[in-house]
Amino acid sequence: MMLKHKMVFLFVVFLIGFGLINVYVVWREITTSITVEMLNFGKEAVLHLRESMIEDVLSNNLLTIQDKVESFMKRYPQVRYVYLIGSDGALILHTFEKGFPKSLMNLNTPDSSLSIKTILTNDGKVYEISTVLVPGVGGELHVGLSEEYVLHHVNKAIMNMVFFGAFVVGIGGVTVLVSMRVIIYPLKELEEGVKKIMMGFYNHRIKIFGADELGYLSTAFNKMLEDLEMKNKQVQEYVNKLKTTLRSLKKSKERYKRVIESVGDGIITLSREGVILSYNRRAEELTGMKCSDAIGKRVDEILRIPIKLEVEDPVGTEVSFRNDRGDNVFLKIFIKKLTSDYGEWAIILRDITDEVIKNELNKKLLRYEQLLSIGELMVRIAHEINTPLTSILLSTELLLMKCKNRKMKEKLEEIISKVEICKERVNELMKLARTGAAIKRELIDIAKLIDDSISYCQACKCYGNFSIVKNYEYGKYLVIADPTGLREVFENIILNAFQAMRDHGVLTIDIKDDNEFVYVYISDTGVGIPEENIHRIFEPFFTTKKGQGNLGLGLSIANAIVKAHRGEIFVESKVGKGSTFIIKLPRGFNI
Amino acid sequence: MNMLWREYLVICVMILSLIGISFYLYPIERLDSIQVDLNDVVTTSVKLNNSREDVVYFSFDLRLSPKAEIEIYAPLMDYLSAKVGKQFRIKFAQTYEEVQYMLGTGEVSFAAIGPVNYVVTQKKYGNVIPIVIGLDSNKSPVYRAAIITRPDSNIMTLEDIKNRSFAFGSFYSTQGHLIPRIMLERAGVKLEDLERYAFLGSHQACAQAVISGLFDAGGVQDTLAFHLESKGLVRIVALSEPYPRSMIVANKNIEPELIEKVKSALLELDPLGKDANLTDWDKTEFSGGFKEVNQEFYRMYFELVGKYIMGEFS
Repeated sequence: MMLKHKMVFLFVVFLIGFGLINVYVVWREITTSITVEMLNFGKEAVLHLRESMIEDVLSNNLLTIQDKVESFMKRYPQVRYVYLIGSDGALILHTFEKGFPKSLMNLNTPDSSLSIKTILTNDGKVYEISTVLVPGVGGELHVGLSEEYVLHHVNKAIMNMVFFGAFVVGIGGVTVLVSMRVIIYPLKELEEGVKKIMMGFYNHRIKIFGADELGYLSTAFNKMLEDLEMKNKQVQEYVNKLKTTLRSLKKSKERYKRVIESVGDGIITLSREGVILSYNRRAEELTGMKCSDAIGKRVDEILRIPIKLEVEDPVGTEVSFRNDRGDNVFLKIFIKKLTSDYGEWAIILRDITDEVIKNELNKKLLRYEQLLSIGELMVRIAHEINTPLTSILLSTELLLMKCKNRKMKEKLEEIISKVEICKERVNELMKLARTGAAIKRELIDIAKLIDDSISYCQACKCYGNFSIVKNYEYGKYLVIADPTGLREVFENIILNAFQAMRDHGVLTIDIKDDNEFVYVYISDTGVGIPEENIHRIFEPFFTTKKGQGNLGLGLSIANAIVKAHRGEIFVESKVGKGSTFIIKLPRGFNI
Repeated sequence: MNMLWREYLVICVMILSLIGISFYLYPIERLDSIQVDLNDVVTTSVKLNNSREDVVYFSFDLRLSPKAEIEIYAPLMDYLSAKVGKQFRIKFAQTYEEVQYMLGTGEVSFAAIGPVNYVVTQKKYGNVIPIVIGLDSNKSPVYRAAIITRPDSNIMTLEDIKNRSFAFGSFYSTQGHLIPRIMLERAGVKLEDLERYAFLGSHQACAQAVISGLFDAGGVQDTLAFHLESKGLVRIVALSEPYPRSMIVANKNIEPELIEKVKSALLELDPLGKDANLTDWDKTEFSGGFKEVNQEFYRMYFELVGKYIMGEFS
């Protein structure tokens, strides 16, 4: 069942229900009213009858009384019966054909005024009105009024009302339907017109329906269609222009985007509050943050430095920046004020990492070249010094053997000692100069070499109380290397560790490897190396133990030896906790 | 259907509510009526309503029409019933003789009668006593009779009535017969001097007979004569001297307590004041109420009645 049918069904049910209730209410109302009216009339009629009969009753003129009662009943058909009782209680007269009913005896004795009782007889309901026949004298006058008469008229009226109502509703319904068709047809036309317009048929026109409101509406609608058609053409032309402009704008935007994306610098546009509006691909690469994540954030959060958007910075500010991928990059940041609607400011990020590294390398190269020149000079000087020192030493030892004077001997021994120190220093300088010059290639067991180095160092520095932890085993970590050179490396590092721990501590040595390299970890629990010194400890002549006869060449030599093996040395240190030296050596190498 | 069940429910509730309200406002009539079988009839003659023993019957001289008299005395019955505590009913009498009979035989206990009828009844039965006398609107216990003629009549004095026709009221009427007879005789007009005469039964009938020209003159109560003269229907030829008015008498065989109660109730009656709602009370001989009276007050009537009323017909 469709919705409208349901609605109609419900409406009809409601209408019928309401109609029946209405009919019931009206029926009751009319019945009550007519009954009341009938009783009022009955009272009047009974009193009138009594008035007309008083003299006859007092005169005991029964024939006249009978005539009056018959006349009364003929005049009023709703009167079912009449009976009179005299003041002595005797029945004077009644109109019952079959005789006076027993049940009516003493049934409705009137008081001083009228008395009404409802009696249900086998001929229907009767309202019996009784009154004193002659006031003051007595007797009774009873008149029965039939309800059937009332109901007959009421029912007739109700049926007429129902039929007439149904007739009116029917006629009204048909009239409404016809009227609705008359009204709805032009509206349907209008609806069709609207549908055609919605489909784009602006040249559609609707029929004009007479000169009434609908006629005016149709005319106005057609006028509106004409205007709409004209406006539509104008709009179409404007749209075409707009499309062309949009296409060129799109191309321009694409071009601009490609330029921006292909630029080698990161470009970030900002609102005047410093909020990021756009972010090109290069900026993503440099900062390690995606465009989608960056837009909407403040630029200070991304670059982690304060950016003042007050004046342009055309020169640029160099900063070291650790991006979100963990890479350290050097950036030059330019600030440029924009005039476009995209934002007030632009930040240009230029990657100068390569440039900085190149500068550093150039500086190092210059320094190495200088050191190389110095080294060669030193080797020559050392060689020149070493020969006379050897002569001095030999001559002094001969003098010591022949000398008897004790004080002289002491002086000679002091000379020998100082000369030996000089020779040792000269030898170190020569070693540094010679590193990488002549590297042997032998298969060696790193573990054994380390054990030898530990034994040597323990012999040299026997004054401490150190624990040594060894986490390696023999025969597992084999490399092709120069044993003398590597021993020099390990001894240097282990001695430095002992010195760092001073008189007690734990020296831990681990060896690990992979397919290509062997890693030796030498850790101490010493004083550690300050951060500012870490990158300098491998520089020649750098030492923190000046005045102890230390030239500061040990770690430089060790680094030079390891690099000569194509290896590397790393240092991790914390002041007060200790240091770990990691020596990375290739399993085999070609020189 | 599932989606609309609430709406259907609402509509059903609305219709049921309407039906409920309708039946609440217009309930189906409960028939607490009395069931009567009209076919079950009485086969023998029976009295439907037995007379009550405690009913006190009252009668009166018919001075106006029966209906008019009933209309006047029915309220008095209600008054007495309320005051005395017994039901008072009228026993209607068509004639003065009937009143005499009912009073004399005890069929009625009380009656409103004129002096002539009282004297006749007393002389016949000897068992009636006057208990109160009527007063006029001036509280006077006397009244007069009037001889009336038509306004255009050439009867100017009582003597002019000689050889003319004359109408009396009732034979036993004081104002309608006895006093006019006395007036005529004192003017030298005897019944034999009249062209013709008749007793028409009531003052009203007598007045109508004069007005209509059936009789040249007539004797009626003074109040009616004044009333008709004021309307221009009659002319009063002569007025009598005052005579004691009508009274309420009782059969002296009934309980004295009842007589006393009735007397008290009548003396309390104030038609000019609190009981002014009594219908047409001004048309009675008691328009001003009642006053206590005894038999002595009417002694003058005994001789007159003997001479003019009972002497003629006894």
